[in-house]
Amino acid sequence: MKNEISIRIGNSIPEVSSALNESMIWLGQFEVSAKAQYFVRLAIEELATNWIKYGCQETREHLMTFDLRHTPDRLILKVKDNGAPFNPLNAPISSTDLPLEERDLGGLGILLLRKMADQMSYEHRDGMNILTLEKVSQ
Amino acid sequence: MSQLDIKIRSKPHSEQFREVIMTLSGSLDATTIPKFEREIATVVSTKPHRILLETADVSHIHGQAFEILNNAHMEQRRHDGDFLIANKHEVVETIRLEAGEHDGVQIVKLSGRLDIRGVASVESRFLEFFETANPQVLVDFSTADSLSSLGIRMLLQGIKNAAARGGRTLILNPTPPISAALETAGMGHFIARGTEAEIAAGFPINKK
Repeated sequence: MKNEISIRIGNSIPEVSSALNESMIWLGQFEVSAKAQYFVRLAIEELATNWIKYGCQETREHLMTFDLRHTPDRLILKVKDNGAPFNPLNAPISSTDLPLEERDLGGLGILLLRKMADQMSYEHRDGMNILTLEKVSQ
Repeated sequence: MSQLDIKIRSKPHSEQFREVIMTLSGSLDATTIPKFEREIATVVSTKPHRILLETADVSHIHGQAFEILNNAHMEQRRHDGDFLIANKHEVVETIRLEAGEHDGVQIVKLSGRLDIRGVASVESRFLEFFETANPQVLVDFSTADSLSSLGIRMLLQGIKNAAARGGRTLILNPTPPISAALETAGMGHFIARGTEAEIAAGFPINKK
């Protein structure tokens, strides 16, 4: 079994779908909980769409890489991109306590990841955003 | 009536390397999945060195197909074979929306993945249910297996639209990960547990 996989995408939505499919096929070989599977899908989609929307404003080529690793008890996802510096750990999140009509759910994807990840760390190095997320696999 | 055409070509590159190319066109849904499962199992049983699945002309892939793909992938690995999917950028992974009605309550069942592709394919149809006069909508999430922030925003938009028209919305039986996501989004109080009939009969009183 291959315990690691690296998936690279450019800044286009079809490539996000492709990365989701590829990650699920890889993940299918392990016994991981529905929560852990859901987390991986969520992380790829939220981080990639956020990056395409906000991180790719310049004309140069943009790439995002998802390095997924399965250990006996964890799934580790390292996400690297060369977009605008963005630290999801301190990004502003709109309140989820507002009355229904005032809610816009800005930053919801990042909030979901912060709540669901068992560990999350960020660094900006050599012009790259590097985000590491960990989720207990059972 | 949905259709799926499967063309199978065998490419004996050499005696040491045999590749089978399966080209799919049409829809991979509940109707056509049994046929696909039979065909791919037959191909896998011949233990080719590589299976190349071409999916550029597939318009719809039901979640169940991914399980079959996973199994084929693992089976190939057991004898050191490869399993590749070509043109997968073009694959549209959709979600199914089924609508019904019970005691004046609209029941909208979403099955599959409410992610970036799923939302794009059902959003306009989904939101129509919340735009009637006094809409009472029960969104059945019991067979939805993924929900991203885009899906949550779509749900919230429906709930807001219904509320603005004096209506109510409840979300029925989401799976634990989806419940957790809804709770995080501050939407846990829209979750209801029970059968469609029970919840619809007590609508909107019988909520969590």
